[in-house]
Amino acid sequence: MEHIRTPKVENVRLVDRISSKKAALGTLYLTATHVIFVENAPDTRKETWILHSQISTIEKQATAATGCPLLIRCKNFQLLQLIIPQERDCHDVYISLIRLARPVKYEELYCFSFNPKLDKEEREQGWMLIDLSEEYKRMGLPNNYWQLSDVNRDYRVCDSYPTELYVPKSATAHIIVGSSKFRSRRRFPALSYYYRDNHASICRSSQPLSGFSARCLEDEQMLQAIRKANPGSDFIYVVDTRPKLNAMANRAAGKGYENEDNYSNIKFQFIGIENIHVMRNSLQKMLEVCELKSPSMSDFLWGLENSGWLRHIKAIMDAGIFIAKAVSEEGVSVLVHCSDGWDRTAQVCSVASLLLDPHYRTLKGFMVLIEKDWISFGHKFNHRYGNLDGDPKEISPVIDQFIECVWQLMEQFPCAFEFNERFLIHIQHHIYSCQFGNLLCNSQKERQELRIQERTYSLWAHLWKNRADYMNPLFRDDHSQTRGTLRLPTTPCNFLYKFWSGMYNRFEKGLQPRQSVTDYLMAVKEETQQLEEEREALEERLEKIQKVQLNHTKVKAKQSEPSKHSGFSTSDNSTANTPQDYSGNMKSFPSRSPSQGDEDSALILTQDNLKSSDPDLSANSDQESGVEDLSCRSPSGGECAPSEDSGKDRDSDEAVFLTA
Amino acid sequence: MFSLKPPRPTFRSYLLPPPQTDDKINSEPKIKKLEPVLLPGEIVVNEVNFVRKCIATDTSQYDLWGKLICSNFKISFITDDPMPLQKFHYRNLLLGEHDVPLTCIEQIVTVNDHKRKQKVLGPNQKLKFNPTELIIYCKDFRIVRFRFDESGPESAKKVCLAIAHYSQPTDLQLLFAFEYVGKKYHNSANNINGIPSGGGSGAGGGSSQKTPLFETYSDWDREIKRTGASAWRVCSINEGYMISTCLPEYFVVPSSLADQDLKIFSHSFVGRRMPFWCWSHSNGSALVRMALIKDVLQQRKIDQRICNAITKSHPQRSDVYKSDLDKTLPNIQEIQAAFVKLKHLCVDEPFEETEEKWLSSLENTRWLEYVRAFLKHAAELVYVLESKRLSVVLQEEEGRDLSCMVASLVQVMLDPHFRTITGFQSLIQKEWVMAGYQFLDRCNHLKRSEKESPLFLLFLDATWQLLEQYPAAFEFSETYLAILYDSTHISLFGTFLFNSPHQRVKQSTEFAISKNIQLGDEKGLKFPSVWDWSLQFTAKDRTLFHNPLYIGKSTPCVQNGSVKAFKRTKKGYSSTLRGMPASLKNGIVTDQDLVPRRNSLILKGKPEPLPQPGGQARGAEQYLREWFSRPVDLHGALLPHVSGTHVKLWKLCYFRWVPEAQISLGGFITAFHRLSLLADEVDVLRRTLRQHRAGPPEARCPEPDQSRMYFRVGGPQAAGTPEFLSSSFPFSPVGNLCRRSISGTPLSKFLSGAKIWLSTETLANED
Repeated sequence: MEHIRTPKVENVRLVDRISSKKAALGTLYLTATHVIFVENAPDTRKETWILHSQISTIEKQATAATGCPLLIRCKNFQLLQLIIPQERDCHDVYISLIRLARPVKYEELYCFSFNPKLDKEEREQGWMLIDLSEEYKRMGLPNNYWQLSDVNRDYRVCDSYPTELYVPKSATAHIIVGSSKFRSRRRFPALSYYYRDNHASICRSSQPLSGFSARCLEDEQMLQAIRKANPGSDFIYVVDTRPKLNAMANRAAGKGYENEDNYSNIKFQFIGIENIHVMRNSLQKMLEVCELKSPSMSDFLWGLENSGWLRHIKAIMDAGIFIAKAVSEEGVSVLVHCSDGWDRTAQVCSVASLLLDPHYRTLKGFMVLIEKDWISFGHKFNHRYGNLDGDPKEISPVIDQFIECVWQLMEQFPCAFEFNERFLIHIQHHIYSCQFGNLLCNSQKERQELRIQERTYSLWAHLWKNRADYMNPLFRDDHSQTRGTLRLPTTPCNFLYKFWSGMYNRFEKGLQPRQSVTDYLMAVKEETQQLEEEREALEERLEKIQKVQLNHTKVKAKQSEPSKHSGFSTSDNSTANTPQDYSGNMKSFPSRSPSQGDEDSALILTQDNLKSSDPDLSANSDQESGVEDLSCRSPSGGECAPSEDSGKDRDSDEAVFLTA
Repeated sequence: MFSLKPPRPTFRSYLLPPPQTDDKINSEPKIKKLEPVLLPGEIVVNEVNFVRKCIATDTSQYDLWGKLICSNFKISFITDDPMPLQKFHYRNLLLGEHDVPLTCIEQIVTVNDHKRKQKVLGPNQKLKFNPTELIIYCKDFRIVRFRFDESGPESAKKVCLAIAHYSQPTDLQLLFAFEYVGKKYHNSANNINGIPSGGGSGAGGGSSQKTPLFETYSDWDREIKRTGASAWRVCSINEGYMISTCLPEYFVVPSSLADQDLKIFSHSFVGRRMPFWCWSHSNGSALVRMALIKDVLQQRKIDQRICNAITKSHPQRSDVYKSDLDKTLPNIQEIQAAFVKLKHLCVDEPFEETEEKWLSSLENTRWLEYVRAFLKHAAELVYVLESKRLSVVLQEEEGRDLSCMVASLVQVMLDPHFRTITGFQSLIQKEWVMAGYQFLDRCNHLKRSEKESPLFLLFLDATWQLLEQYPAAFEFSETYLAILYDSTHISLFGTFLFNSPHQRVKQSTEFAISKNIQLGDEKGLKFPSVWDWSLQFTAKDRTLFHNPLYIGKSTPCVQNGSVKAFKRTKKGYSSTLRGMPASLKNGIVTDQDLVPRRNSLILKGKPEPLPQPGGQARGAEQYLREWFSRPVDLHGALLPHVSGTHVKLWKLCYFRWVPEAQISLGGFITAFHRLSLLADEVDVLRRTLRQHRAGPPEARCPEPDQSRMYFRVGGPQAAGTPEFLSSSFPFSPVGNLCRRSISGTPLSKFLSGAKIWLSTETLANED
């Protein structure tokens, strides 16, 4: 709190980015965790909440007659323009936010103060939801070829690796340690994914310290061991995901890539994915395109092309496709690395796994995938996503790119994923929100030292609890598509990849029609479920009533019929007699609302977003359709024709309109 | 009089060769059995045996052997071999799997790879070498290749020349449709009343309604009533095309204009195309089309009179808003140029070359920019009609090109009726066919390229953009739009054959006289209508036209032969706007509000109608902005997003023949499949429910035997995603030899310099 110079500024205007004329007048609050803007408009009092950790840049612009403009760019691609009347206030807000947006200690992060009012047990259970040892079991490990190694116990060999790793059975501790000394940051080859059907595997490591001529017997033995763990193939692919030029440059620094002559039976392959600095700049350029107000066709297409973003996405996809094909079609194991083996390697391994294994296309499987290839293998979340104040050159949208790859795949295979776009967007949000402990720090070791699991909550448990929100209604377990490998054309088809406006423009008013189809279907599904529950509840009640009735008739057998009925409606006024009664009762029915009582401050939305996201849902409310049948809540069903209602609406509207 | 029965195809299945009864023939070489399937009036002009059709791009192992014939309707390749690699192909009843209608041919290239020669064949040209290969470039973006390595060199040459000759006829009456219809008339003279109907029996579209053709007084009259345009009347001064040969016989004018005045005014308009009505908004604002007034002296006066009359026909006597399309929109030559570039990019250019520059190459075609320009302009006119409540007059020199497109788009946006299949078809009849869009010239059926322009495709593309943005607002699917585009290349339907209704009457009367056909009371021959979809597709295949997401307002009811007056919900958005209680808990907007979930389909409150600001100073931009901030009523006005982010490339249409672009078991079709199953299930349940409710089956509403959906619950494909689904479905890129094929064969080197799709001169490098 000591960083907040001024907790409240009145008469601030929030500028609507699209129509510069319209600006909402309200009050700006600074809290320890959020920036909050509350509109003055008495009927709405619309609130806009921004987490400090989401703030990417703050820009103070030249003071104008109307006040001092402050531009806040967020990591979730929201853009806020405030106009503060007094220059002094503006400066105070600016200075405060600069500090608040850049915490220096982990303890300042939101997750350490975030309290969803779960008890200890619930929290612990939440952390147990995703269990990597279970995942390796699911893959079929350990087996004759692969075993769990304790060589990295207490992070003795590599401090950015997890303690539990799978390695080939024939790789002794001596070989592993020897190999680790020949690899950048001692990140030796370890198993990422094992393809049960044909024993082929995906292993990952960092670059070898080969320089121009250095060799390491243990490292060569290590690769040999990986090859031997796949009896079906007599060679392995070594995939260096960097552009060849970059890899060659590394040789001068005593690093580099494997020499095919030194390693027996490897096939070496470069796949040119650019480094984190190129990616950071590329995103920056693309976001500039996103910020254009109603761009013309050429603004958009040229801007998008010049950003190179989709080209980079495609490079990652191509690498994933190459590996998936090698594993599933050729049955050849692959060793993947880049420089340190924690950025591009993580992207590529997880894309390949996603293509290969339908399990990762389920909700839980996807969490496992991130846990495995990103969290446990030491992807540097803190550095890449700037959770703590640090070197801005370390920041890069590495996992964002992976998430986008998943979305691109979802677009190409709309029925193959159990989860929907929203799931991806929420994960992206939480990478930056620092609200949960999972995606914090640079390594497993750091998280352990911080006792993250004791002090924070798990994102996975939170997402799992709300899973109803994230289901893709088009997904079916029994699909041929949901089984087996996803096959994409490998020829250069740039047109397969498109701009993800659902992510980068998600705070714009434009809606994403296709996705709203999904939303629409989900609403229908929910509705059906709710009605199901209501029906059950009603049937139960009916049964009860009938019992009571039976008793009544037994006791008061002589009573006349009408009075019997009236006796009922007074004694049990929850009986649904008319639609009105019925809807009044609805709230008391068991409801499976996933977000009820949930303190998730996750997505800070402006009301415009609420509006723009729902047209598909609302638009159909007066139609004669199956959907409408659902919304016709009459318990008597048959008599209440859906068209009646809508017909009336139509007429009255018409009348109003004509007189207007 | 002739009956209105739709003609029935008179041929057998293409899958099997005609059954041979004579055993002797069976012992003959296999190739003898390969007989083409011909339509009435169709004759084989030339044929060659032992032809190889190339299938795959990089190998000849899948190539098919068979016979190549040229008829007066199509190129047909007949083979016994099953098509390899192909998982699915929708069947057009008029065409075999390997057939290309002559009117679909864009360019014919003959090649002799021994002599390293090639030639683009024009009509009546000579060929100085024996071709070893024939490459057909089609207007629908396909490229088909045949090899003559094993066939007789002379017959191969003859077939190539025949194809070149017959695909580039010198006269309209040489198009196959005339022969076909003539034959039908002759046949029917012997039979009872088997004349082909000109009308679109809407059963084709799958809906029970018939598509009004707007050839008659009553169709226009009904349209006036449907839109509630009270101060407008049908005018019949052009009966017999006495005034203008490029206007329909009947059209609609302000009631206050007398026939006599119109006749006088007509002389001052280009093509004597006086203003005629398209559509009226329920607020009374009308949409009117008009050619330029060429008479400079009279210009002001006539213009004033017309505007006054339109104002008088407006219930509020509002002013007229004029939109000069020639000044604001790209012209037809620019659109054609964009299309040529687009085609080149999508079909011709090696992917490797465009890889880095794909987006800028796409931008360079300008195609998407033009789609956007038309959408944007139409949206602005929607603002004028709906919000400013002014009548709009579309002005264009001849009023036969851009006006068709703009008028149609405005109506698709404003009137949900035109988003149904029948409605959309009637719109095309009204604004394109009857309004004198020059299909003959623009589709270039006679291969005189100077007037060619793909404006109609541009309209389908723009409609697709709307469909893409509002997937539940249209009764038809994108497959329907693509097939509609393909139908413009089949010279059988009168719909897309002529430059004007008058041309049909004139040309077909001449033809009838020359062929001794008795026309009786009829004005010209009745050609089959494209709206009679049963001519092209089976009932099952036609269900692919249906969009499973579409929810009809109410089943269109035809009672006593007349369409019930259509009522639009006005201010749809306000009636569906639901209360917006942001469920704020500690000021936290929870995830659930991203999309309202609980009770999301239930109206929570009924907000008051939108206040109409008195001033008219609000700009179109602000109108659009406000419109977008409200929930959409899919049965009200629909406005497109027109920022660069939202206008997309119609991949199904432009990439369906590119093998590399095909995603097996992927693409939107997989979602379409699931949604179809869902929609079918809802249909089945609703039917069951209705039966329960009504007891015995109702007499007035016979249950359709057939599902609306192509994919059905309990059908063979219900269990999982059918294996044949791909992003190109229902089209199959197998056998399309595009770019990579050319660069992958020895031929590549000498073809690589050629610019296919470009003008003939650049390619005619024989000798």
